[in-house]
Amino acid sequence: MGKLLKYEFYNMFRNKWIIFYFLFFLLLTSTLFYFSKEPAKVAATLLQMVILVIPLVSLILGTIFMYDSRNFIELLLSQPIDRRSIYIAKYTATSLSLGLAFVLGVFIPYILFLTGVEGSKEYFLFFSLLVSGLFITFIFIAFAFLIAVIFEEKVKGFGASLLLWLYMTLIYDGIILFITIYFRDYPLEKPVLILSILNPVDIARIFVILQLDISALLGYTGVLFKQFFDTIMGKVISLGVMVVWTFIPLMAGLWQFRKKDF
Amino acid sequence: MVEIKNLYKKFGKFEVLKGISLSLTPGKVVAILGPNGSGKTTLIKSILGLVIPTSGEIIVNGESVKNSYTYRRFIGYMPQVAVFPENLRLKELISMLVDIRKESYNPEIEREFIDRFKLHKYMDKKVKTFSGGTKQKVSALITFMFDPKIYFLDEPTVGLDPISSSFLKDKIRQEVNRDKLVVLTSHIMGEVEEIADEIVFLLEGKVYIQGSVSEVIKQSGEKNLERAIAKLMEKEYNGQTA
Repeated sequence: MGKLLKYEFYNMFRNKWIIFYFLFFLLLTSTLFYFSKEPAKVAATLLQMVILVIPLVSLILGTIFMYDSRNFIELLLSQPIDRRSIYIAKYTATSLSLGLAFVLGVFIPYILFLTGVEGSKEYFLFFSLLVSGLFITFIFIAFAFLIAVIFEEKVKGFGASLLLWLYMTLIYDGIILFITIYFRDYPLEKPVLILSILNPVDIARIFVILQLDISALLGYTGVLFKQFFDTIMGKVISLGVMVVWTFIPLMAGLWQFRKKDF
Repeated sequence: MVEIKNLYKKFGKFEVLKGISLSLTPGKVVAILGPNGSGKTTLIKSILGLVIPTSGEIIVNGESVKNSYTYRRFIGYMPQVAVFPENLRLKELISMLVDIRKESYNPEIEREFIDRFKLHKYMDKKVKTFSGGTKQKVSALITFMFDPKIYFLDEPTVGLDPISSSFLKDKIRQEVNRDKLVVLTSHIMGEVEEIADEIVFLLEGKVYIQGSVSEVIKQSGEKNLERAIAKLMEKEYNGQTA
């Protein structure tokens, strides 16, 4: 397992996509800090990226990497190596590399620009942002691997990835919006809270937004959200939900991988 | 050494293996023959654990294959089409496999294969740029250098030039004389007649005939293996049209 990890990481760091991904966040965060000296505003813009770009890039790169390493996997499978180790090593290397590219891409400019910042430095806000981004990466790489294991054909795999992205980032919110409007005569705070927990993107978003002052904009459910997430309990639960959201697709993918024919 | 009991494999609705039982003992070259799509590769891949059987039991060296991977330390496998990780140089590929597998790795064999296959000049080149024949040589090298007890060679000589192909066949005979088991598939009957001791003829996912080369020829009443096998296959073709 250790050796497999070594080669997987070696492979990842030679991968140009990872470098691009790192440079993208580095450039974006630097530019944002250049124009706005307020960390809170930068974090608000970065949050949109975390919610839209990270799931998309994780899904697409995750499926590409998995399909591209099919030969490598086949070679390893004919050696005395456990299928579980192959899958977990590949997942760990991919998700940690992409996660690290994001964290460094945001963290380096943040630290560099911090000296010029007057007022609140927003440590906890950026910490929440990085944690959410990391979990979103872990969750969607796990989904990407699951998809790549299920669909034999690349094109179908990409299609499924895009659909999942659309669903998680756009359609799901549309459904919540529809429910809130349609059932506006009923007390909706709790159902909406539960619905939000059922989508990893929403929970990551809420996790960060509630550190921002603009959470008042969330309206009447926002009050309940704030009450819930501002407690230690709420934070633990939302972190727990993100961990669960990582493990569900990861275990499903591993289960599929172990009974797959090559 | 390899024991197969009642092996079934379905891909969706398509049943490829329909109850195969086989017992293979060391010190022999066993050739698995049969028409295209008769399940030769699926059978080998099932033993390797690349394909998960629908039902049945496979025992390698006294160890059940199901949910196990340790038994593969006894096995060397040359796939039908050699596939290698992208972006690795030959040198890196070899050192990586040695690093991962280690057990019974024999540098002498590695050197011999590199010399005889003239692979020196390829060491610093990326494996994906190699020609089909060279890939096949690399595949043979990484199979033999771990000095396994059991070899599974899926059409090993395809794409090899006569010198390399003769060398590989000599090697196969040598290994068998060291009491190894070699299981191979081939469509070149002359080659099978030359190196195989035993033949397993698969037809529509079942073992149709198993026996020594001379027995199979004698039974068919033909003068060589090619004609004997052709006769067996013709039966199937006629059976389909009737």
